[in-house]
Amino acid sequence: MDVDLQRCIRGEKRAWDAFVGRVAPIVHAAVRRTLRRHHAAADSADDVVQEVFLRLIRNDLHLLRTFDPARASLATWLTLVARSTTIDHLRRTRPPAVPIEQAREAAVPAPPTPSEGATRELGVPDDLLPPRQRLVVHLLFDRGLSVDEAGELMGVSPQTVRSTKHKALERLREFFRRR
Amino acid sequence: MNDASDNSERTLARRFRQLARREPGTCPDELGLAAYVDGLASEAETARIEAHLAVCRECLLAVADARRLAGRAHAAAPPHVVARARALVGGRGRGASRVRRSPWRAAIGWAATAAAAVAVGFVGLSAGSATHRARQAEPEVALAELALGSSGSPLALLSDEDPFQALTAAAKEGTR
Repeated sequence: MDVDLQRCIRGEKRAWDAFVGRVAPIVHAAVRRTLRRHHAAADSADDVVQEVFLRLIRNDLHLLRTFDPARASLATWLTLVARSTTIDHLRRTRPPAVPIEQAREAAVPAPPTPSEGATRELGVPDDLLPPRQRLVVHLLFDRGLSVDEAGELMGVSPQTVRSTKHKALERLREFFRRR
Repeated sequence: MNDASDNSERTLARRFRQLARREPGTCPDELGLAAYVDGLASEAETARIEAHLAVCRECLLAVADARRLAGRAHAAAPPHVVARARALVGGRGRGASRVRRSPWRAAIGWAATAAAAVAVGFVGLSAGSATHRARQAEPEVALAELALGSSGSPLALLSDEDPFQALTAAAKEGTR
């Protein structure tokens, strides 16, 4: 995305106007999508978009200054900033039907507590599965994603997902076989 | 792959889910997640984020949405939205900048200032008049409802349903 952030950070009006013109579509799209996700009215989108830009320039453009183009693209970063700003807006302006934290926990069954059940299997070591294998198992089996969908979400090929899944299941089989 | 094998795999995954610790920890910041989405995160950072994604639904949704939105063409934002955002930074000439408050707060400030000005017999202080000029500068255009999801548009693939179903729709489109 071709914008001159340094001139924006220096507060140059023309650079800021150009920046807004370039990024407003993706900010607006991200806000609207997030509002839809959370079943919120789209008519607050305009105000939330303004909040996003306010957040970028607050405290002497602090957030905008933190962006590092070597670490990520501006479009991706702004999408995530817009998304989190929208969620913060929703938290402030309405009580959720289910608090977001509870929704997060409810989405994936929690492991049984030590007091549950007549017998309890011992836990598994934290490092039994490397993070990528753990994520693949979670996406395929807990979230019900297909191999293609998991690959798209992780930014890897379906073949990588399949091989990662295979390795993860081999580890799990071996672990449970030895118990 | 037969059903018995599928069931065996699901059983393994379920046992693992039931026994593994789930401590999401602190969510990565937007720049960290963006680096992951763009494939620019280091190996260590990628591992940390993927470990977190396995236990944090919100971050998982954030990554899914970022993948879907970034890199695509988007409908233009409404002109008044663009104008309001531009008005946040004002200036007179190169290098001059003045971060403005949101128009509605500025309007309140303008009204209060105007009231004070009337009290002392002086109208049109700089802050109020600047805000008034900014508000006058916003183009008055009729809002055109954006046809998000109209047929033929990439946006049609974006589902309003569960985001993971959106990935299903996109994957099916890609494999047809």
